Amino acid sequence: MTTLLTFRENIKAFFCRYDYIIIPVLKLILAFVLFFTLNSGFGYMPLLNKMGILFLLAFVCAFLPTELITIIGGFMIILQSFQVSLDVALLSLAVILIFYCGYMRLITKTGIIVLVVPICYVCHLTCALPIVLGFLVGPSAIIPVIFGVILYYYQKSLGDLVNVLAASTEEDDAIQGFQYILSSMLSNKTMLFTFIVFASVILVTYALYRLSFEYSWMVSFFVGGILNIVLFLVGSVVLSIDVEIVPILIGSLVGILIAFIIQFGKGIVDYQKTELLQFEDDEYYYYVKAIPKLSISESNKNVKRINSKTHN
Amino acid sequence: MVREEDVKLMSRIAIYEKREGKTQIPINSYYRSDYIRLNVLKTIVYATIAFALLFAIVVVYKLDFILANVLKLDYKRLGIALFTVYAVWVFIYWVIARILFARRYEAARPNILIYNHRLKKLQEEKQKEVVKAKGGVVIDDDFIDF
Repeated sequence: MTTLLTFRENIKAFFCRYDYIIIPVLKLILAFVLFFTLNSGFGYMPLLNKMGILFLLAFVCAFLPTELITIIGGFMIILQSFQVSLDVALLSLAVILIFYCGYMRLITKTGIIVLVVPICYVCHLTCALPIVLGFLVGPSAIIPVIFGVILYYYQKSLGDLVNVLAASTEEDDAIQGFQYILSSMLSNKTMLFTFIVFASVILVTYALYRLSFEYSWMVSFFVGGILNIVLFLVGSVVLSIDVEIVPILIGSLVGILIAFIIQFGKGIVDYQKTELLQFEDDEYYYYVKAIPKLSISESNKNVKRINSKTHN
Repeated sequence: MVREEDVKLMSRIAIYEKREGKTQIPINSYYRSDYIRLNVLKTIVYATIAFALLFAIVVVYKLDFILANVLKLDYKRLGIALFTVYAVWVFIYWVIARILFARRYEAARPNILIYNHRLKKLQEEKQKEVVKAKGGVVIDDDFIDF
């Protein structure tokens, strides 16, 4: 444990020391991965499929606030949709505006979750997301996760629409992209059920994580993971939807693992040294439970001196 | 001459202005109630835009049905249903915005107090320097250092 704690302290110190380089580099990587996944999911606009352009945009985003990555991603979705048809582009513009007016204006920082969801789908780790977001962000993550799932299924529906349009001849009735996409999405039971599962897992993980009983954080991760699996299984039986159980199992396990790692970074508490205090003033009785975070003392830190000069 | 205490104060002021200060300092120019009301009003406007867009999507999606039944539709009932849904929508946003902006105001207040305190302290340090430069005597008061 001491080794792990030392490792954590070293990483923290490293981040604090070089944050002026690390933060832009991490933002660059995040923006590039987001833009790349987004555009490879659509892939209708040749200009946005060029790695150079994406890297340039990501490089600019590295020095801008995170919210702008979401906004640029939104513009990319509209441009990609516009390549298919105008009505589809208008539909995506309307949905993005609904998301902006209804959510991002109030809570700007977590808007980026929308673009993270398709990456998780590509990596088959979608089920990891609600567990991690449940304790890290809380209920305010429900809306962007739902919009992220919509974005993923919108990509798929748009792909189907392009195939249908390519197969249709001029004699056929004009296919309205707008109607086609909305119909296919509203009839998609898997998507609608995913909303319910993710919202439930986020709420349960968040509620358990905030409780004061011992090891509540650990319980919240496990319950979140199990709830994920159980709800998808129940859904597949009751609603007869196609659910691949292996990615759900792996996703939930990875979610629990990531949650553990993040929690370790945030600080694990030492329940053996719990202090229960009780005192009162004129108006209240106070029952205070103080649990110290696990940490290492200065003497346990190894200081390695590396000299650049070598003696012959 | 570089005074270490002044540099420390100025650095802390600059760090705050660069980070949280960007959003929190403008809050200082409002009373709590004014700040909450103004932001709730803005939120309701944006919620109305979002509702109008959602309504437009539904209308376009159901356009075939609407055109086929344009004379048969009970517009009074539809209007009442639409207004009820809109009222619930706005009410939800009103509640969320009130809680959110009240919390933001309360979270910003202590930081702004410390920021103002530092600015005041910096100004006093500068005045002391001026007095000293003119050959006067400076009497230190008990300023609480945050």
